[in-house]
Amino acid sequence: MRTKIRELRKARKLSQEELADAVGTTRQTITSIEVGKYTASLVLAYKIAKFFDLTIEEVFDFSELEN
Amino acid sequence: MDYRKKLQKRLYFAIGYCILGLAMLGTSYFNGFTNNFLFPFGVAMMVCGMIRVAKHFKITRNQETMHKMELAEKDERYLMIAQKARSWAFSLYIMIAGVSVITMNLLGHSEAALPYAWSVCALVAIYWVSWMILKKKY
Repeated sequence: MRTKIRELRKARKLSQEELADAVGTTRQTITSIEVGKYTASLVLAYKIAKFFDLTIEEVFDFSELEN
Repeated sequence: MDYRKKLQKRLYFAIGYCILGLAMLGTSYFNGFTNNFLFPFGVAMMVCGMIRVAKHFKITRNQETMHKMELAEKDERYLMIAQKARSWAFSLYIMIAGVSVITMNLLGHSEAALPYAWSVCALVAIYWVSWMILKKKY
């Protein structure tokens, strides 16, 4: 699944480690989500979206599911 | 459960391993090292216990290390990987044991194949029971 995490993170000048710490996960998990190798659970997706003050749909791209 | 309490519980288990290993070594010593089971298992348990105790102190001494370990243990991706690895191990064992049973039977070693065949049957039965329990739970 495609996400906007990398762009949002870079816009806020945050490292993967800092984001991982803020949402209670590991840096490796953030990397995997960013490159689309791993799809975050609903809870983690919510935490990430909340961290950026956005909705889940604004961070994660669900267009693949709609087609 | 609080992570510190979890670590404390693990430390008690590690000390238990050490004590059990020491008891096995002691028994082996007083029997003149005649038992082939007690000495190697005693050493293994002692070493395992000591490594776990050392690991406990390494983790708890540094707050940052402890936090990292906690994150890694609770990380959903790591949990998913562990679950997948268990699932693969189960599937591979069933396949390897199944092929071994057939091969051994074809080669005329049906007696030797029996424990493997039973282990496959037991695993499938445990899987089925677990599936039924989990289906009701979720």
